[in-house]
Amino acid sequence: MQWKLRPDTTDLKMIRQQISRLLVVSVALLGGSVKADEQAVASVDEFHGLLLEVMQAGDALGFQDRKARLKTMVSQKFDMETIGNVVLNRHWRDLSQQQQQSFIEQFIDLSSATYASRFDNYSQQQFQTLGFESMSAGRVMVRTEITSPTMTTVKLDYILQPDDSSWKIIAAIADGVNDLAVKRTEYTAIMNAGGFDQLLAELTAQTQALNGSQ
Amino acid sequence: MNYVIFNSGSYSLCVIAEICNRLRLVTSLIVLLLCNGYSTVGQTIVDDPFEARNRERFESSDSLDASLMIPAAESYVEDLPRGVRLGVSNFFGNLFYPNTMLNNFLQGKFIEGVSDVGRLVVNTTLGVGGIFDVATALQIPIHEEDFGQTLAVWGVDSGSYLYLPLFGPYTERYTPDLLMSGLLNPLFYTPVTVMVPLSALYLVNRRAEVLVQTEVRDESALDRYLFTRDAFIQRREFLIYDGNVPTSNLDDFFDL
Repeated sequence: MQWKLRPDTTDLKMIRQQISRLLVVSVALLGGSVKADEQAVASVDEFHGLLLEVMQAGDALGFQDRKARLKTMVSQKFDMETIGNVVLNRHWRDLSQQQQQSFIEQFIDLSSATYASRFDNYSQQQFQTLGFESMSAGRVMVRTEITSPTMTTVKLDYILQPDDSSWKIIAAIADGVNDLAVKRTEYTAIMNAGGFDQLLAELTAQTQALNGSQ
Repeated sequence: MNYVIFNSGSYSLCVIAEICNRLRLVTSLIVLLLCNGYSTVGQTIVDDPFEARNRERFESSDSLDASLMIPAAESYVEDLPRGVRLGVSNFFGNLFYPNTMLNNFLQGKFIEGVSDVGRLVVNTTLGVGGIFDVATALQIPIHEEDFGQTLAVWGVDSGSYLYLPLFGPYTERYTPDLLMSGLLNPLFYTPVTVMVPLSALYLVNRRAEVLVQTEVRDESALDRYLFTRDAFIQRREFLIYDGNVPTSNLDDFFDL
């Protein structure tokens, strides 16, 4: 066996080629990762952009128009399948496809009405993206805050996961309170007590109350 | 004191930071020795064995709130300009601030504690008894600490959820703060003729501060008791981690 103290030119060429490939792959992976995170941030920014538009339009737009515009955005930007699975926990799997679809439709309607009700006027609010953090299972947390001269700053964190070619929101956390976690407790209690029909009836009544109060 | 620390050059800052780090380490070690066996800081598991009793208290407090506190708070908001209400909030916030300051030290957060001393001195003197928040204008940050958070940092388990009449949502771990924040509030040492009217003003002002939040809750909740309880437990975790709850705490929530 012949030991070489110094690699010959062919070896050096091969090593250079391997290093080059490694660099290309690393840069591609890194680039891909940065791009994915940027897409998640862009998705949140787009949602905030619409909220600002809706707030600035305020009364001129009216509740129903605000809700209609937000409903399109909520349907596009939120992963309702995952949200349904998370919020109904073990009950989700026991529902028929039709029941799951009914829940998703009602949940989108309720979420849009809630956003339209809360974001109804503009008081110089600004959304600021503070950064993002990778989570397990390829999810990303985008950290933002909403500031206003007349309001205490509120931290708003979004959790997103990739879905085909886009990033979709699966949770919004305001000052540490995860809306979905609260809903999961409430919905589970209702499902345990009265089943899916009662839950759907209560969600419908809640949405109608929001629609009627405007 | 705050002025000296933040304006005495980078060398002094480095020395102070080093001392603070060492003190923090010593405190952490003492705390570990005292509380060996506890490791549930910021745990989100909701333990509510007294739910039936808690619900009764919640309902009766809610009735009192609807009939007495909400009308008083709404009138207060209507009758007093925002600037005056802000001054009242600042004044009471300053009275409660010794509790924040002490708990920062107890948690080993000495830089924050020293900053709180500065904040308290500035607002009490330049801010005319705390009515004006001069410290925030001077970029001295406001912190939100209490003995419940300190116990969590020390590794004490949160215990059961409690709904206390007049005081609202609590955990067993958080209840000692009622005594501590009371004893550290200068209002406690004033004559009854001063303490009672000021306490009443505090309650109405505090209720007015959260009018919007409770409206949002009433709009969003299907079960107001569960909504209040879970939002409170999560908010406490947020405060314990000073607003930076590790994302790993959320992983289990989505991995079904």
